[in-house]
Amino acid sequence: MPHVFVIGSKGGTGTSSVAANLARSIRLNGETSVLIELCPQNQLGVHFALPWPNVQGWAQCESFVDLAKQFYRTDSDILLLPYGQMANGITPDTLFTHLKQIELPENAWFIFDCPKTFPVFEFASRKDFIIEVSTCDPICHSILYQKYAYKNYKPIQGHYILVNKYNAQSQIEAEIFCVWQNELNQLCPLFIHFDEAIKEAPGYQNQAVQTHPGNTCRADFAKLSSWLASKVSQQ
Amino acid sequence: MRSVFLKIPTHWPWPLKVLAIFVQPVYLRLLKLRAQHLFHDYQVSRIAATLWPLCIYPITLFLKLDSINKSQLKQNFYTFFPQVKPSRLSAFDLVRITIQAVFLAVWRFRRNQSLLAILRHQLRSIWVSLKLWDRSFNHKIKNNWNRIFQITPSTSIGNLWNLKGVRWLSYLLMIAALFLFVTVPFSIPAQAAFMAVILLVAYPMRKVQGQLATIIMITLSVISSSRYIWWRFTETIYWQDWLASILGSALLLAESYAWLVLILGYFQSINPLKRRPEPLPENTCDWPSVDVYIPTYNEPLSVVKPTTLAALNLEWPADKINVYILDDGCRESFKEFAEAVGAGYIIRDKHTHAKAGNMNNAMKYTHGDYIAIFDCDHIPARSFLQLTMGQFLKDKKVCMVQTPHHFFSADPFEKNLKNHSKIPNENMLFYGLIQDGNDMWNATFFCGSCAVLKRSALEDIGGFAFDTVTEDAHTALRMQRRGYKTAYINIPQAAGLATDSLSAHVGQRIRWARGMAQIFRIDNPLLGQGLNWRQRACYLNAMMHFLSGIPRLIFLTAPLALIFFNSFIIHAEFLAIMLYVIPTLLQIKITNSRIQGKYRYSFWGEVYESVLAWYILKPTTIALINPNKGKFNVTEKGGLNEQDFYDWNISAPCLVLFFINAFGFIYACIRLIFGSPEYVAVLLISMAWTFYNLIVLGAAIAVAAEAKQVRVSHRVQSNIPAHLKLNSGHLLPCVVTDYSDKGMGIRLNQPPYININMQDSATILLTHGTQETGFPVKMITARGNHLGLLLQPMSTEQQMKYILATFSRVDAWLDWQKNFQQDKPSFSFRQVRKASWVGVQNILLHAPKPLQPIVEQMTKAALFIYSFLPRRPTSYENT
Repeated sequence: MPHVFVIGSKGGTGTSSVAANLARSIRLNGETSVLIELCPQNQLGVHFALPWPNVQGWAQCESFVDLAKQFYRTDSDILLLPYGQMANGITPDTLFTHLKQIELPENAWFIFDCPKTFPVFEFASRKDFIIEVSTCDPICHSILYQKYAYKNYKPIQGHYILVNKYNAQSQIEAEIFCVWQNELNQLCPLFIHFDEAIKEAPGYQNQAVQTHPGNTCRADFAKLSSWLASKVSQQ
Repeated sequence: MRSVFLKIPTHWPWPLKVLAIFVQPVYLRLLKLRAQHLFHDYQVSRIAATLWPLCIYPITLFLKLDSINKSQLKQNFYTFFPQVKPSRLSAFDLVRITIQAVFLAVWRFRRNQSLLAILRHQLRSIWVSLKLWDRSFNHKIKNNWNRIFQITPSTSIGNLWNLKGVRWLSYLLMIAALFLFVTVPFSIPAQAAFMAVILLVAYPMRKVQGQLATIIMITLSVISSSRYIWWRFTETIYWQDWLASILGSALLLAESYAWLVLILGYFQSINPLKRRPEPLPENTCDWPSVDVYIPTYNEPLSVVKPTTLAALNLEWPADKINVYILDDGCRESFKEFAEAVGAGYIIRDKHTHAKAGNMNNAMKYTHGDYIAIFDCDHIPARSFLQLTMGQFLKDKKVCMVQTPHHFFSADPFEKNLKNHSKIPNENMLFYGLIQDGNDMWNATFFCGSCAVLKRSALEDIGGFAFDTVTEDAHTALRMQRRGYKTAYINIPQAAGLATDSLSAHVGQRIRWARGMAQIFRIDNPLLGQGLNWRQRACYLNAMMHFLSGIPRLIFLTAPLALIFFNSFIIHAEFLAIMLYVIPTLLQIKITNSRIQGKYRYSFWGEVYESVLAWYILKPTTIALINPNKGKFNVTEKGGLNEQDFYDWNISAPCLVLFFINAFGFIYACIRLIFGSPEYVAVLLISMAWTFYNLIVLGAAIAVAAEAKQVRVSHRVQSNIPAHLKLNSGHLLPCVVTDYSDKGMGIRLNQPPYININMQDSATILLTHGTQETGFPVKMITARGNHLGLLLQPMSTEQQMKYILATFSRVDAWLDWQKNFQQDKPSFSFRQVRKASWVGVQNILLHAPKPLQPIVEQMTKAALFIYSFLPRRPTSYENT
């Protein structure tokens, strides 16, 4: 199965929440998901009730034998690999080679929670997805336009921009979103609404799709996961 | 020791003590308890309460009460004596029990063995087997049909057909054959055989798919009905006396009218065109400019507002569309509103020629290539222009494109009979079938709204026609005389308010009828230049439709001629009448049921016509004599009606007819019993006809019971996904189940587990196109997952977006025709019968004040007498 890299256009766009909820949403569809944190902040565990402070993680292990022991299996049966405390461990390069060596469930979705500086295009293959999480604000607009709106810019296959925390009541958001819809080719056909539940869920050390099943966020992530699945089947 | 004496309790009052010497105190106590129980719990009078339990004692002489299960006994008692109600005991029950007991003793019951039950069972099984046979028969025919008739168009025949001579020759041959079929006189057995053959061919055809089967059915129906009319004219007009000849010729006239309308109707709807929208050019620079007219006279701003906002949002290049409010009421508030939203506002000094004059005046000030017209209550979908304008660009001769009028509120028939969206309404036949049929013959009418016209064509005929009160039809007629084409697209792209009371509805129809009659006199489509015979036929049928007043009244009273005056208005043998009338009627019904199927259910046409018959009689007659009389009346819409009431005025003609027919029916019953036996057959057939008329009139009466209308704005049923945003920031997915311009009803996808407080404000997120917008609402009511929301004040821009997300969505009205099933005559008849029964009840329920006590007392008396009649134990009835 393809890898899904979730990366933010800038800080604070809700990358970890999207990664965690996407993983859970895929799990709710009856498929297996493996969630790997590449972000040195090491806070993804909060979404999954990991012991606090968290002492495990891939960044501190030295061999692939060691790496296999770093996975957590959550109650919802998601395999989670946190970043851990940075010591003298392996680099992301080695992590990706190690991941191929250890035994992981077949047909699992690999979801990577990447920091905004992560050189994601170097790691993604042609079949992978890069979900760039943005919010409809002028900063993101500026970033995206400088990166992608040039006439000679060639879109990379599998790279999509996902609008997160969309609030239709805000005029600036509505206008920016309208512009993006018309001009950004990589824009996802769906977006994630702003929902208090996503903010609340880490407080319960859980994901919003699980804690607030009646909320829109669940429907939004269900849409996102099925859209990804349809993209995979088209490949 | 005294207390032991005879076991009499010491605290009893002395009369009881004395009594206890003779009767055992145990029984006395029982009696006392029973009496108290009856008195308090069943509210029986004191005497009855004392006497009732006494009946128990004689019974104990014969039965051992101890060994009986009391609750079982009670239950059995009420099953065998169903007229005794435990909640309402009275002294008369003794009489009832006696009657019932005698009945039970004498009558022998076996389950389902009553004569009626056997009969019902037999009829039912016959009906079921008939249906099964019918189904298998149809199935076989269908299969064989598809196998045999796989017609491939042959080019050689096509080429041959293109030769004028061949075409005329075949027409001639067809007419000759038809003439032969119609005119050959048959003996009675021959006629029976002929009709049997025709029915045998037509009957299985009704379920076969495809236009060919329809055409065959129509041909057969034309033959048999023409034959019938021929027979009526040649063999049945030897009337005995002057009365019979007057009544008989009236009936003949009505029948000829019905025949003509039938033939024209068949012609009109033989092959509906079902035109598809044409694509527009890629480059929007090539799109023509359009003016949108919204004429208004006295309607409130709240009605005009949504229409204007939706018109401003029509998807068309912004520099090529202008919206104008044509205000004949010259109201300041309208002017302010128009300026605020950016619409044009046109008024005039002289208010001549009503709507047509208003639009002609506006044409002086606007300059677009095309003019789109919306009545001020018709809210257009934003795709309106994109779906219609293609026709003009494809064919330069097209001068008008019409779309259906769709109504989101219930019309008086639907509202008062409570069958909204269950039975196709009166409009559907015209917009679903007839206009599409007209389009085939290039004879689409302009209906005054929801249409686009070509400016140059209008200028060619000197603007909108204003000589009649139906300016729309006349304008289209004039343009067609100049050789322009008209088109119809059967996709509802606008929706409006239906008339809200029967009297308003009748008023509107009177105007149409008068206008059509005026056109018939002023600019007769049968005469004059520029039209081909097909267009003339379509126009003729439209005019004829409104002349239905007299014929309908004749049909509703014709059978009474025989019952009251004993005059034979059809001079023929009983058997011949049966053989000509019944199969022909049957065939017409089957054919019409197939053609009109989804758009008009069987028998409802008669109901609609009966309501209007009397009212359109006068205006059409006057307009035919003097076409310049009568003025334009504006149809009132959006009215309120605080309580149920019965409109006696409007239903008076139907009521009179109903009572005459009812009286006739009773009189016929009396004649049947006491009259001479030679009339039995004709009386029976007249009674059947009268009874049918009674049913139709009953339904017509039922419409006049005006149901209350309390909501200021009509709710539109819908199924739009949306999100409800609570003040806490939580977003809940939901579905908008109904909406209006004031509020909406939503259904949450899951039961709310977050506290939702009523009276809290919230935001509802709706999508329009690819965009999502939030609208402020207040939560008013909650019932389970359903919430009622009230819209809060919004800015103009928000209002526009709200209209875009609701009323003027592209798909807002698309499913209006698809909801209806193909007509089933038996089902439809049952509906009419039900409506009719409601009508009869309505008369009693809404009887005028002085009569009300009488009606009440009579009902009570009837129920009282009925309660004494013996009846079958309830448990048998259930099994």
